[in-house]
Amino acid sequence: MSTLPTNSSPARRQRLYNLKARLISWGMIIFCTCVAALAVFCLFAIFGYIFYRGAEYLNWNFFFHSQASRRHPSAPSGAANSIVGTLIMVGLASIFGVPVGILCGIYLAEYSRDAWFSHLVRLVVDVLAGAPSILVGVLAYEIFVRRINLYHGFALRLMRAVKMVAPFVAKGDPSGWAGAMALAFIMCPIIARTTEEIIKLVPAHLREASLGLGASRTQTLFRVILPTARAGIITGIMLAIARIAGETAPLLFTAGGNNYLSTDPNKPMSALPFEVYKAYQSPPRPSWQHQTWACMLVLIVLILIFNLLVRFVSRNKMKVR
Amino acid sequence: MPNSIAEPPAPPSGAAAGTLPAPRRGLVLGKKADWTMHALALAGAAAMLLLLALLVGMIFSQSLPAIRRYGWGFLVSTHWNPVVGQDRYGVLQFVYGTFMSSFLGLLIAVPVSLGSAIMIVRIAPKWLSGTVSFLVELLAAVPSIAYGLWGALIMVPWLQNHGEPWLKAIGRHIKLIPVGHYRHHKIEWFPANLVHGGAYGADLLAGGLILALMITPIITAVTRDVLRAVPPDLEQGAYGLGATWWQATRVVLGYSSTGIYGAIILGFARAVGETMAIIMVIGNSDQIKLSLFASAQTMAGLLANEFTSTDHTIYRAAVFYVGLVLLMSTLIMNTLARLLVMRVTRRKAQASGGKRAGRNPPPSDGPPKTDLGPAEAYTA
Repeated sequence: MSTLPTNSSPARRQRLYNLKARLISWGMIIFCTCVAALAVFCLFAIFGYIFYRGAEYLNWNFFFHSQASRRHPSAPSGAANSIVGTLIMVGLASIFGVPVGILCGIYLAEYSRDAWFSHLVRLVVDVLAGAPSILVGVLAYEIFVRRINLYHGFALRLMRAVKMVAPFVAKGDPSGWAGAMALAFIMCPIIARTTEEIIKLVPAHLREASLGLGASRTQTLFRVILPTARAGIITGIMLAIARIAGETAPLLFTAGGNNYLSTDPNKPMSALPFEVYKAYQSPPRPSWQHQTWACMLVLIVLILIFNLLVRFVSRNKMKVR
Repeated sequence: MPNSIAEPPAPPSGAAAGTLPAPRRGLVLGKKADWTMHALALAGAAAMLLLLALLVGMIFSQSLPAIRRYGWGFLVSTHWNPVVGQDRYGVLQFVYGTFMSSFLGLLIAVPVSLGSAIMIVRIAPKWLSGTVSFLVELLAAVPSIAYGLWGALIMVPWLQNHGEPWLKAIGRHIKLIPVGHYRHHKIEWFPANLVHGGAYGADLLAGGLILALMITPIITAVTRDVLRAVPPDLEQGAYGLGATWWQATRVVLGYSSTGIYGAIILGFARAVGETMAIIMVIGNSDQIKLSLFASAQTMAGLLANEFTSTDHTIYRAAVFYVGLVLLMSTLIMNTLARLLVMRVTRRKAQASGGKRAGRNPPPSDGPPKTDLGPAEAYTA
């Protein structure tokens, strides 16, 4: 009677509990490994398919002919117009977005004396970084394409300032400038955020040593802090460039698209992601689909190269010299 | 300029420094340069404020006619009739499409990304975790149009021909909860009514799957950083009390739950604001139909599809009103997520002196991180 093992025996319950816990533990290990494998598999499925389809249709004509250069369907056609457009618009966006972003990052990391103001700026940067890109595209459209009279002519004055750079923007037309500015709006907060984080990682003793030697704050900034943080800031810039190179939504209304090769940002311009979307929307002709896959491949390779460069640059990121 | 730093001692004069190597040539940066640099940096920060003010102000002012005419009723109306003279607008079906697809995406993405993050941080050997981290980050860098294209040309046809018929064949027999009799006095059953209707491929299910693919890398990356910031004492303590691996992991997860919620909300906000991938797969029709196989439309998708075709004032204002609703919802979610993540990482930084805080390597011999920024840290 006393040796009869029942279900309520404490030892047996303890053994069962241990067994259950160990089984659950192994089950969770297997589950986590499986889902990680699934995520990596999805990466290879998507990348692999785009590489497979894109490489099929990629040839020299793709790089050296624009879309509208063909006279009849068998003539060579390519995406030179969108490749050039992407490069120009991303370059212009960087010219405007990088300095503003870096300055804002420097402000947040170095000059933020007022607690409430720097908290406000930080919050605003975060909110901007998370705002849907289509809305940023709408903003750029309103300012640079439609040129609404916002805040009693403020935008108009802003436009006059830009007009010094781009004197021949026709009113109401999409242009490369508008697309570039939309991309710059997206770029600024990303760069500001990374710059701030990187500058905050610069060891305080470097700063103190520089100030102690009698350097002014600006000398400290330019001779000590920025050189130390340079690799990290470059990483941030390249990540931001990789991000905006793939943006489609802000270009939908602003860049306008162009079937001809154009290097003039005052005229409508095409970009690789824009071209992919346009080709996807158009009636399913084989030549268009080939174009789509090839564009996608070139875009992804461009972004991958940038990401690998980031890896390369940031490998010895915070090396203190 | 308020400069509270004690005036640094004057630099040694040229005569005294005669034996020293010649100083590096460069700009002479003095007091005036200090002031200029401060002003420039302030201008950069002000530009950000201006940008957000422009964004909010522009969208709000452009949607004013619709706000005046429809008011709060816009948020609960399901009409979308942009014909001149018959204008009636409401945003509810787009809110439904946006949040339903994002919710579906989360439902799929959260287990996968939490599992992947745990695998990266707690299971994999170092070389493997580095590789998987790198691949996940690459996946996060793929532009959304690539997901959209892949989804529209590969996933949607597959869903139409294989995935959804199969799901329907199984799902329509699973009847767990009766859901009333809203049509023909017929009782519908809960999981079975979700697979109701024709399987055309471009629908909520496809949208949810694409969003899941897109937000998995983001949630994984943030969760990985949050898990890495957990002090190792917790895990070791759990093991010391005889916990199994999963029990120790649950302790770690519980400790970092705030940051994980933040990561999830961040992914959700990204899904809500997503445009290109989702308009290519979700079918773009303004209806509310409680079925995975019903096509829908999102707020961002509506902006992309109809913004350029707005031909009269009130239509245009209504489209902007949709943009305003979208902006406000992402704004609220982003702020919430940042606050949660910030709270948890700050707590970690205080607890472990900045040890392994996040993906950026910490300063090798800097002081422990405090709430003070560097500027305050060396002026205090």
